[in-house]
Amino acid sequence: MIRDITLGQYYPGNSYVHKLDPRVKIMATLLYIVSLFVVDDFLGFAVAFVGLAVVIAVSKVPLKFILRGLKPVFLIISFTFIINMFMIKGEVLVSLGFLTITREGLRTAVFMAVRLVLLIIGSSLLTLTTKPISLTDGIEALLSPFKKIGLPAHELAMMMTIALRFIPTLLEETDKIMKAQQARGADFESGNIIRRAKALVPILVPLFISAFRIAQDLAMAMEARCYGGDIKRTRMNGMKLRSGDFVASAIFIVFIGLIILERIML
Amino acid sequence: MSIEVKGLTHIYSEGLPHESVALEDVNFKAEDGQLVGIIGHTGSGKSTLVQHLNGLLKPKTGSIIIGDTDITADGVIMRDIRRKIGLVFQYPEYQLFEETVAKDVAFGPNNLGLSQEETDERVKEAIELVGLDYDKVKNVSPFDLSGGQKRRVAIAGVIAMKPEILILDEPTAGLNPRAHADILNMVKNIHETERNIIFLVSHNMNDIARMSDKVIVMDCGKVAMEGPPAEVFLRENELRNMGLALPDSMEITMRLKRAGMDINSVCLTMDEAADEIAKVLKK
Amino acid sequence: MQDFIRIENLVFEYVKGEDNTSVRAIDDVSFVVEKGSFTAVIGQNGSGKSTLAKNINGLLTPTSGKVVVDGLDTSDHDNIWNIRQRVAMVFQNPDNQIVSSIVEDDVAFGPENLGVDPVEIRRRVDEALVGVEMYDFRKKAPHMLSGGQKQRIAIAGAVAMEPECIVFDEPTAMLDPRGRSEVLSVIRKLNRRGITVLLITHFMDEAAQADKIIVMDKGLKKIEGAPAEVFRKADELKALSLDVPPAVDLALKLRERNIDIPEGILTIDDMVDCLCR
Repeated sequence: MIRDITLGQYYPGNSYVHKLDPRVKIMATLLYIVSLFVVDDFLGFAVAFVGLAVVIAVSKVPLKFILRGLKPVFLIISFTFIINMFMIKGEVLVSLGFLTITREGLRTAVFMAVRLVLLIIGSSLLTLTTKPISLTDGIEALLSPFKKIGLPAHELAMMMTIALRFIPTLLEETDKIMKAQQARGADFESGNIIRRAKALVPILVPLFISAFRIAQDLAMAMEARCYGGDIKRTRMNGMKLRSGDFVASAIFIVFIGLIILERIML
Repeated sequence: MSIEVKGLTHIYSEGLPHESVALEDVNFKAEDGQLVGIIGHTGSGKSTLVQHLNGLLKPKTGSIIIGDTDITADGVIMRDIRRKIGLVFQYPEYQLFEETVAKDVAFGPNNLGLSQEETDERVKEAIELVGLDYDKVKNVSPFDLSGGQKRRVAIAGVIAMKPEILILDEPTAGLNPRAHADILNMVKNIHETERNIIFLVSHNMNDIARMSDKVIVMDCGKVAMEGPPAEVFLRENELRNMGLALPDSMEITMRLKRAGMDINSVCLTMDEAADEIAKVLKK
Repeated sequence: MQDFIRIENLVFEYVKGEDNTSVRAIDDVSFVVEKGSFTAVIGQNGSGKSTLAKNINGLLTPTSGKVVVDGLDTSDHDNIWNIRQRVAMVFQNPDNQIVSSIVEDDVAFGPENLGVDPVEIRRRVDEALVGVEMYDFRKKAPHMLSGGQKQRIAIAGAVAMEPECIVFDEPTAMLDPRGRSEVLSVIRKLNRRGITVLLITHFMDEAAQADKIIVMDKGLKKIEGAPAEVFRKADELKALSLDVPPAVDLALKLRERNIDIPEGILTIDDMVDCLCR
């Protein structure tokens, strides 16, 4: 079940978008999100939409796969849509008893929904085309200027790397423990909420113990491999901007420029 | 009590691109009081098979008949299956969670809905059956025990459910020689006391040869061989092709035979091998 | 031959959490490990063998006595990084020592920490992965691999640091027979290439392949010698709850049956040769 969620998943590929430097992709995604909140009319959204469509086409990630990522947030989008539609006052279009739909309400509702959909697709495109580990490297590199004001950029990135590495291990461990307790007659599915919460104890206690054991072993292994934090550390795959990254950045800047221009001019 | 497995097939992730057949038409039978060894290299389907026997996995087709109940039938109550069949996983000490040994062992019996007196009695019996001193350990935290002792407590937790069929998945994994021998003696002791059917899954051919009445060899999700150890371990080439070894005693006698010694090569223990070699050399 | 590790009257004590009593895990142990040799340490759980391993590369430092690696004393904190680079370590649990979710990134972790130049890291990583026969898996996620494969990745991670010695702390204890033989053959290959090997194990057939065996019990060094010498003392080993390799076991049983078996038989090959001569 957990495996069905595509939001935040990586879709292996070898496209132009996949090969871009993670720093470029992270910055572009952030700017794109900001631009979505700058835009305020149909033409603007059309430009933002076309831009996204082009990136999707180039990335070769199947549209079906991307849309599946929208499923879990569909409820939130519908909810915002309805709230906006009914709550905003203005020129009345339809009146259903105490509920009224106004022109302004409808407009805001549609814009908000489109904005959310574009935002979610845009940001999931980042994770779909970037390996978690490169994403971590990208974040570390982008945050490193803030080290001067005491932000532990390297430590944060190392934590993310380790979390990524051990999520599958801990899921496997959970599965094993659940099965073992089920074999001892544990029942996780029936009873009221208190009973069910209580039934989790036989899973959580061994799981925590496992997690601590892993942490202890891993700390020892990292120390044995001369890990001493960020001092004098080098990277095998140092990130280097290539010509493709500059071209993409240039195109993207023009694109953002268009959106801003559209907003100012019209 | 007997157990019969008929036409058992299981497919992981059916319908998805990475689907794989884990069990294919598995058939075997085990009778009352038998100790059945299950061997096969990692990925041969052993773990999937034992999880079916306990009802943790549901087969695609086939049935598992215990006594006269088919546990794969619809409407079977899981609790009734667990009462009949106990499954001890690999590294079972990682499942311990209670504050005291006695409470942890009582987890299974409590889930079966037994009365307090009955539970207490079973807990005491089970702890003693695995070779621990009940009065000494009952109020101790299981996390303060040694590795071998923790494993015994975990096994006691399953034995306290008094299963008619007990499945032990690699009970000696990761133990040093002394603890290894102790656990095997404990298994023998449980078998003799409870007279139940025991399935022993192991990579250690010496243990399988010495302990089992019958051996089931799994390969690629199928039962590749079934029979008494003396027969199974004679099929050396087939076993090697499956990535399996012989017990040390037969490894030696088979090689002596090939080197020209006129010897009875069926020796399930090193003592038997020594006897046979002595017999030949003294002739 | 030149001594690479010198352990002199090593004592290691730790304080038990609850009652603050100190426990002596290693009690006055001395021995040397020669450069390029293969030494096995055997002993039952709690004999101090793992604690001993962690004292060698400064993960733990002696309560008293000395551990000197290639002339560097582990008690001197300034030596620690130099020592850890010379003596790499592989642990028991294959899962809990792999840091990255991509095989080759994990192998690069050690050299990255040492500040090695990126081009050189690439060369070392590729070479190490080829050495353990895992090069084809370099882009895979570790959790998709078998135990033996994961352990070979951990070994590649140690090799990429280009150490002179690798300490293996029960590397095969959690593996199936296939994984065990894969890992052991890699260990032997590394030793042939000149890496000093210290193997902590409770499998006697593994120990039988070493140049020297050290038997530990309750923190004390009980026996030290070549495998043939050590396994001759079968009674002593049994008293320490240890086994002997199968061929040695059979030799003992045959002697009990008044059959004359020469000393020094360690492997099944030796035994078959001897009986069929």
